Amino acid sequence: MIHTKKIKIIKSMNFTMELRVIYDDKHRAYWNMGLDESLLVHLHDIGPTLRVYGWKPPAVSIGYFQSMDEEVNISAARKHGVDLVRRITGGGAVYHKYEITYSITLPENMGPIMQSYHVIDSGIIKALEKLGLEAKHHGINDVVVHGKKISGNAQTRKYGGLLQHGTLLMDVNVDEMFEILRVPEEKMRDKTIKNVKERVTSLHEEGVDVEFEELQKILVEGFKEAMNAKIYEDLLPKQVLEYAKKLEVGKYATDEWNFRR
Amino acid sequence: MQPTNGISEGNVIIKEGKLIRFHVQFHGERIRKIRINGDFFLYPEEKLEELEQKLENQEISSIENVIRSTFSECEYAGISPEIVERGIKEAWTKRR
Repeated sequence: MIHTKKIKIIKSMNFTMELRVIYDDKHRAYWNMGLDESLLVHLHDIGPTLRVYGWKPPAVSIGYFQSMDEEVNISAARKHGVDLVRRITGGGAVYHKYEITYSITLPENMGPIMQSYHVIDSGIIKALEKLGLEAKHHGINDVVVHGKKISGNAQTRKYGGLLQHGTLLMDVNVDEMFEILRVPEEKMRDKTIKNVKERVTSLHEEGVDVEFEELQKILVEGFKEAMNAKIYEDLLPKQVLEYAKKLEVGKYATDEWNFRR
Repeated sequence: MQPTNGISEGNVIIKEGKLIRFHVQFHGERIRKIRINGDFFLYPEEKLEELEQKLENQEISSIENVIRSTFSECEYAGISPEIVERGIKEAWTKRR
């Protein structure tokens, strides 16, 4: 069951725009990526959408330009029941287990891509503020707390629209993560893991423990505040879900897509 | 330079340990096949595949214009024309 709401964006754009919000469950990687792309494909029919969701079973998503074999220890992932999927967005490999993910589809008129990261990331920064954490944008597409990465984000523009998705770490287990993910240079394995431990944080490590459903609401409130939006509910049309299913089965669950590079 | 038919890999490490891998197969002094993999952003994404295709059959000495003209049509981060040139040249140096 998908519950949706709509947000009216007033301040961040020169025109009034409605934005649907989906408080979604935890799903398989292939469905998650299929639905995100379907929301982008149908942007002009259903309007912009903000979706907050999780992954069950845990999954690794790799960036559009990455090779699954190079980024993931495939046999370890299969042994641990971790789904593997390739995104339509660039960036790096992400281990989706102890985190919440959002996706947002908007019209393309958000300015240059690198600048629009700052605008959209401000929703996450506002959510973190509500949790008592001072966060800021860092580099191209990261959000940091106390100088450590807590959120990574990736965007693409297709079908006349913009899709950005990103994660907010609720907890982190770097050793477990690197049982599944490969390090760039095996001889530097220990150093790489040590560096990641020093550079990454999570809500738990920052002393914030919050339930998934509560965090969904806080994240939506963050986006609402960042974009000065109003919220009301709606349901997703059937054609969006049907197309998402088509993408799930015919694209994201296939080796042809996931092992393309 | 000696003609070579080998497959070679050039790696360029960007800051914070991010790696871009250049898998290049050479035929004589030309690129036969190339695949560029890594953690970066390039918009539109399909331009990378277009670049890989354009680089095929290019002489190693004339890759600069092809790379720069493709990148002039893109927004990018974590990769640049210079990085691509560097990666291919490293693969060329390490060719078997």
